[in-house]
Amino acid sequence: MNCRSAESLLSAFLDDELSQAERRHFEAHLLGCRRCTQSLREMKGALALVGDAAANSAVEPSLHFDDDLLARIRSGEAMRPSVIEWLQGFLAPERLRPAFLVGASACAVFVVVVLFQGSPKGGDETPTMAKGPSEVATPNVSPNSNLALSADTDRGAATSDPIAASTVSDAASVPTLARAPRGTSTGGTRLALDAGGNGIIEIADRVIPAGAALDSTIPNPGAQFVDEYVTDQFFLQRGRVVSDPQQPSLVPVSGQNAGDVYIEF
Amino acid sequence: MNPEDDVPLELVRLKRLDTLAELSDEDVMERCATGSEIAFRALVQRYRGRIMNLVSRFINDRDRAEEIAQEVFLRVFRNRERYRKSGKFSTWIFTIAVNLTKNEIRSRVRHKGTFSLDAMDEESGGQGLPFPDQNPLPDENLNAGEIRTKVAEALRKLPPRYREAVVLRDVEGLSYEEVGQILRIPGGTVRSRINRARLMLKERLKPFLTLEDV
Repeated sequence: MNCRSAESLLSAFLDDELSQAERRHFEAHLLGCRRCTQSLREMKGALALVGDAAANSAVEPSLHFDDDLLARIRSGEAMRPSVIEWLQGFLAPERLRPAFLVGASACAVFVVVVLFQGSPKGGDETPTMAKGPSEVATPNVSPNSNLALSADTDRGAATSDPIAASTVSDAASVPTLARAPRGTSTGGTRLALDAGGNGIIEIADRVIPAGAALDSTIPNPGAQFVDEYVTDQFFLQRGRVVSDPQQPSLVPVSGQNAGDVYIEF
Repeated sequence: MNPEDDVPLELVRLKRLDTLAELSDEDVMERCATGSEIAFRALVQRYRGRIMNLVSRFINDRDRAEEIAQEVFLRVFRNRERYRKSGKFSTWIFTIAVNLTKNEIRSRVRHKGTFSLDAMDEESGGQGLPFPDQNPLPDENLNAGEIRTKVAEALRKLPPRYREAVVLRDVEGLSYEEVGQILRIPGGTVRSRINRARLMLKERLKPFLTLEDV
């Protein structure tokens, strides 16, 4: 071992972070090198000064640190995540697991297929197209919070649901849901999502447990699918077109197993 | 009737804080995740000094350092449900603090009108300040307080990537593994950065070492 190599190991030697072999070679070098021995002593001395400074020159937070902090939390002023934070959460390592990526890719392919299938074939039968990604709700939902969503497609707006409301623990965290197109006559589609309850999702009187297998079969390939809702749980619901041009758009899929396609992961 | 009903609220809080004192950071954080304000307060009490110190080593502006330290705790609170008990709480909170501090330095660099040593250093590509140290030659008769000031200066003049490693290791006392996790660098890089930082510190602090040290 030469002095250059020994110098690169000084810190690790002091912190006992060397392997046995490294330590043996290093100690053997020190025995015959006064310069490196001196260097080791100086580094030890410098670290003692740093330790002393760290222990005796602490920068204390102000006396009102706690009060200011709690006031900011209570006011809610600082509780909204920034865009960067939201993105970081969205791209968190758990979301980059292969299972997620495979699911997300499948979902993307699925949406593209749906868009092509739902493209106009002419005349008055043109359905209302599926909403674009910009109108798909992507709420920031904490995994343990209870969450309830209600979408009434008759009114074309997310509304509160007295049934679902019983599971709401934090009204502020309730996100908005993708809006269905105005003019659709569906009789209402209700979604209740309990993220804290292992992702149980209800659509009308159906309950799809979390972990349901990917089902990409379309029992009725002739049907045109026109709208979809993608929630934070990546749940995708499709509706079917009504041929009557006066009553276009979406038919709720609730309770009609034959026409439903669900993707959940 | 609840026996705590007659006790002043502040005393109840103190009593509960007392019981939390026996718990590990991870256990307290777990309670915090369920919405316990007392648990959150306990974490703030445990870490506010360390976080403030850490940030102050990089941001030479006390008020701004305190704002960033507060933001660290706000993020802890905001993301409390994402915390996984399998990881060390200290690693998690220090990671948040280091990231926020880096963001602050980057924004200072971008902000044309702001001048700071950190920003200058960052702009120079982490190779240290682009001009020689103009401080007077060190006096071997400096008192302890003055030497501490010199140590703080020596730390502040380290290139950021070396400074963050050595501050986490030698000021905060974290292990090499934790430093690697916080800075997201492999073990070999942690070792070399800490060594490089200490070699620089050694050269800068050599005039203040006593005979016992050498």
